[in-house]
Amino acid sequence: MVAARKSAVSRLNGNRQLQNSSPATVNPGVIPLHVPRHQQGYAQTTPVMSTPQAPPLWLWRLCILQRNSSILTFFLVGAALIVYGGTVYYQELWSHAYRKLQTLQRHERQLTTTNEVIKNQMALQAERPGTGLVPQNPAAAIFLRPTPDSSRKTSGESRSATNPLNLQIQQPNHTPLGY
Amino acid sequence: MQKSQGRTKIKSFAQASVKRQPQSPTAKPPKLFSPPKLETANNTRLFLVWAALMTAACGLAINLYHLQIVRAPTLQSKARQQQMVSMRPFVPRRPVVDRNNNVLAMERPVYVLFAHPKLFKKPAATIAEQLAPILDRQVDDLLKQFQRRKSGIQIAGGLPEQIADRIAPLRIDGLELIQQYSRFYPQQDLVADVVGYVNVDRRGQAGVEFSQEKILERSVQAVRLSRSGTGSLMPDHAPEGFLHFDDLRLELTIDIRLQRAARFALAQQIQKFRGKRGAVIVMDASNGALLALVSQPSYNPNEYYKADMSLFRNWAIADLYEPGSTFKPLNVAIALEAGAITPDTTFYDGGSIQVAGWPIRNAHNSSFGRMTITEILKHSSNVAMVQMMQRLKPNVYYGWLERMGLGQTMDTDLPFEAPSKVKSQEEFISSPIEPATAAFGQGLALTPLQLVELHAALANGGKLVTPHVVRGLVNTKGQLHWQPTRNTPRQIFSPSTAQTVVKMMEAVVTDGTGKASQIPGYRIAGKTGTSQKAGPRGGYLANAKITSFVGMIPAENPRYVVLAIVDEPQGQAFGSTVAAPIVKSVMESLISVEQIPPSHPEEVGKQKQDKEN
Repeated sequence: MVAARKSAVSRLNGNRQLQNSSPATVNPGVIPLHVPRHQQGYAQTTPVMSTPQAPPLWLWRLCILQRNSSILTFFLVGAALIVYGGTVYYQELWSHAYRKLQTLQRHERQLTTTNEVIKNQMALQAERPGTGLVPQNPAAAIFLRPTPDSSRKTSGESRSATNPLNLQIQQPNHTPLGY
Repeated sequence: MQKSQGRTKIKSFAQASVKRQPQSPTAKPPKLFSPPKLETANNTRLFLVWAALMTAACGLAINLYHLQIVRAPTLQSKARQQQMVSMRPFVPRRPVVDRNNNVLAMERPVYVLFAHPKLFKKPAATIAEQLAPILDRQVDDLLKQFQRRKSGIQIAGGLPEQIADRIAPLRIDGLELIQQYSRFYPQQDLVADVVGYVNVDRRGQAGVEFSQEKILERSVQAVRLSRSGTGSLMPDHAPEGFLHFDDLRLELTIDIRLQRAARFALAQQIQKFRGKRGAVIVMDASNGALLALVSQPSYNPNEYYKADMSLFRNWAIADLYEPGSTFKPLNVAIALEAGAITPDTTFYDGGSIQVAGWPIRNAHNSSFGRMTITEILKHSSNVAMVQMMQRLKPNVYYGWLERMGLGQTMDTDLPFEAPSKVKSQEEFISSPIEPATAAFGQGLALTPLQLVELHAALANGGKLVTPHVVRGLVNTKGQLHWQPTRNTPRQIFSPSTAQTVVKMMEAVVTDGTGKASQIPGYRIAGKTGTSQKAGPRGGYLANAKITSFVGMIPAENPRYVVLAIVDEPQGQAFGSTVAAPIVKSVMESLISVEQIPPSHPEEVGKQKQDKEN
């Protein structure tokens, strides 16, 4: 509150000073007589408008540097946060995946165990008389005679077909497919 | 409101780039709005705030120093203790599978339950009540156990994962589950003689588990992982390749379908003839791979501690026996190869022969008169065999026996193999009775497996292959990653000799002692054997014999050798009655498993039709 009031007053006085100081600059030897004494101290501290001129180059560069570095800092902080978040997140993901892997390995183990135990039990049951199951026997098997190797024949023909010399010698087979 | 107005005013000044003129040294602070009394009060307040802040900052700095430097080591170790968890990842001993990927041995975690009653936060009775149904035990029983000590009481061991999963969520303070590994054999006693077992210290003690220990075992290194606040594991300290262990498994050449069929057939005959023990071996003669190796009686490797210790060594590999007549075809091959006889040579069998004062007779005291080599094998004439081998000089004969590998081991991949035995060279050459008894397979001893190896040499055209059960390490896709190096097969007989002998052996099955092993449609070669058992104090035991039958299929191009052997069968027990039916039944399964086409397709099923008619 105090500061606000102060600055308000100083501004008021400043404006007055601007009006008053113009004759002084014109005639430096003349000191205005009618300035109240208690106002003299203020007159000296009143702010003065600087003349509009270009700031020095170094300041200009510093300003640019400051602005750019602020932007850079902003992005770097952002990136750091993202990277940090990423590490935490991926650790969490890894730990989740690891847990899943353990569960799956365990299921695989249990599945294999159960599967093999059941297989063994079934085989043991099958050995017991009265189950109606008999051991494999060639008498109960069906043997198929291998068909004459037609693929070799056709491949031979196709090979000969590519060779124009053999084409004349070999008789083409005119048996239609499917009959 | 006033304050905000003031701020905007200052802003407008700043924007106008107002420059304060330097104050003159005589300048006095304005007295109108800020009397000196107010300023002193302000300064005191400022100082107080400053002092408070500085004290707080100093306090923080001191605490920081204390935490970061003075107590750092203690705190770090404390944090590590809480965050780091030392764990042994599940890197199991490699599983063993048969050639069709049926699991024969695998690893599984089991748990040991410990109780520490001094840490119990609930009454022991409540805990016992909770545990009793899960462990399938009496409440009183558990309570008694709890009272035994204050800490470290083992309540139960070997608990499977499912039970551990029911105990862990109870979250009872003072109970501890410790993970261990245990080997599980799903086929129980079916392949115990081949696979063996692993003892409590996780060392293989028999079979492949013992002989292939280095390949099966994988070192388990404890890994320290950090843990997050929620207890989940974090990867930051995980070592390289922590999750990537290979999926290789040890594949055997054994086929459990055949193994099962062989065991069934053998067990039936042992029971029927009240035999002491028996064995069946099926070998692929082309490379020495064993498709089945059954010994009876056997044991359950899951409960090896309950079994008789003597069963842990497979007697088909570790015990010697005198092969008897099953050795005769090998002697014929030696005689043919050495040029002592031709396939057309004939011998006169008068029923008995005197060698160095010892009478040698045929079984059943029969005499056959003049007979060809084929007939000698067909009727299993001892007298003619002695005459045949007498045509060879004893030292030449002995040289042949040595060349066949008698007196040595076979370098098979199964453990505890016994080297076969023959008499010393001096004894064999000086005493005429030695070559004479060796002529019909007595006086020398070998393991059943070695007999199969020698017959395989007849079947595959004269090559001595190494019998083996290990195919190699394969991954889950079935690709072979490692294969054991084996000796290159040694040629001991010429292919023509081997073929001639197999043809003679075929006659044994078609119309000789091996008729019981005939399978319609298939050509089978074989030889029966009924040998006397050597007693512990020399000489032969009166009523103890070993019956055996060795067969080959298909005889026109022999590929598989099957040996069945039954020790001390009672009653009318001969190779032809006890062992030949086993070989027949095993061969029937072998035909189905290996899809062997019949030699005479028109005969297949004829026997069955005849029976039906």
